[in-house]
Amino acid sequence: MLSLLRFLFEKRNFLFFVLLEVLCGWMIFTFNKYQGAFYFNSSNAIAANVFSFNRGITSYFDLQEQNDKLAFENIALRRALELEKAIRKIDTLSVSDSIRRDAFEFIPARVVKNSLNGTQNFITINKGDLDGMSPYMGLIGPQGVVGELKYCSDHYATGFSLLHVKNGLSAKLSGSGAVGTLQWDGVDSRYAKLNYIGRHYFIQPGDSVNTSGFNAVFPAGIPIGVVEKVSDDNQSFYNITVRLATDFSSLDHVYVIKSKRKPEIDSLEIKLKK
Amino acid sequence: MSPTLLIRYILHVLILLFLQVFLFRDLALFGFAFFFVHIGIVLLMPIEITLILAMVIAFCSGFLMDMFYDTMGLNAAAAVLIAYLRPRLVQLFSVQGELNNMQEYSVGSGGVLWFFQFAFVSSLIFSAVVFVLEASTFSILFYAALKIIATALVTASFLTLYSYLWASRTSKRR
Repeated sequence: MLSLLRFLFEKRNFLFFVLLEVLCGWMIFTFNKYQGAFYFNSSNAIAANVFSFNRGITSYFDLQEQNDKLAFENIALRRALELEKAIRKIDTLSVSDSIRRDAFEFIPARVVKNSLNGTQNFITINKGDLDGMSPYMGLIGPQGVVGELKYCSDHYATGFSLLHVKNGLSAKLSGSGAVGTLQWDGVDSRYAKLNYIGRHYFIQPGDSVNTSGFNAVFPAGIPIGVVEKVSDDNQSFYNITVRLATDFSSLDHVYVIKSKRKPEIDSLEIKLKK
Repeated sequence: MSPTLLIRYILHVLILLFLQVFLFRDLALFGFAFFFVHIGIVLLMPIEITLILAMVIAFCSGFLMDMFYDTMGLNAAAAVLIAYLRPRLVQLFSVQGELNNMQEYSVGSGGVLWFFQFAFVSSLIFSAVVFVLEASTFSILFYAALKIIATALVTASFLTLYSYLWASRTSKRR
């Protein structure tokens, strides 16, 4: 017994090293699985406050650019509104359908932390539980889809950016109507891959890629990007590179999408899984 | 441990953490060369600190970085590894007896080239652990290798410069 203790004491450095590494390994492999670990990410009080302090200073530097972006978005929205009015005048039979109209709610927020350079990037915003945020809400910017919330603290929320190699997004091509999964390959923050589009579709560079509306997180038709390059490489699916609509390097104003239908859709789908 | 040594080390910790969080967090040269300057907290630790305490400090600093980078446990695992290997790594580039009269591993105590080699190998190991675990697929292995080498190079260069500035400061005071 004594020699065992002595042995353990002699090897204490190595044993302690193994213990710490096992602890780290446990954290690495459980972080994405359990909500319980949510306190140790950038939506917690220390990190988020440091980020919003930092962002409070740096946000003055790109004020002009952010204003331009918002102004462009306003123009696009005004055009859409005029088009809508024109259609209304022609088509007297159309009815304003409040059931469809109120399915999604948009809540404005500001980005306090965003990264580009990892392979699993996260975004932290300055709205949290107290502002009605909850996990699995969609995140869009003035130019298009940004990501999806995952954890919320009282005043902040953090989530996947589109630039996350393990997170896919259901996407639809405008021309052919083909639906595939958009996935980032971890290399360039301006491009992502669109997977699982069969070769029987006709696809060409310039086709726009929008959300499909299949997952109740995003409404259908929100821009994701534009097809940049298509090749088939004799595989069963196309190899498609998409230029992302959102410029992740200068992200500031975003909207959180609260889907009022999500509980209804989820409870329907859960019945099938049982 | 002498108080000046301890105070200097605490200053290292504060300065490097500040630089990492506010200046270098999202900075990457050419998009793939990262500045992981916080590993200086492990490398510049006074030698008198026992290995177990060194690993605890490395774990804490890595854990803090993980909170800012949203990479749970990744930086902590890599930092503990280089803290554990540090006594061995430092011997790689030293002749017999050279290490005996050192109080800390720095440019001031071992010279620019010696410290750069030590910092380069340490940051190579650190970034290898971080990027391979983070990538988790082998399809971007070549790109990961590029990131590892570039990161080790710029991190080691920065830490050598940082340590050199301290060395010139302290020698002037004498």
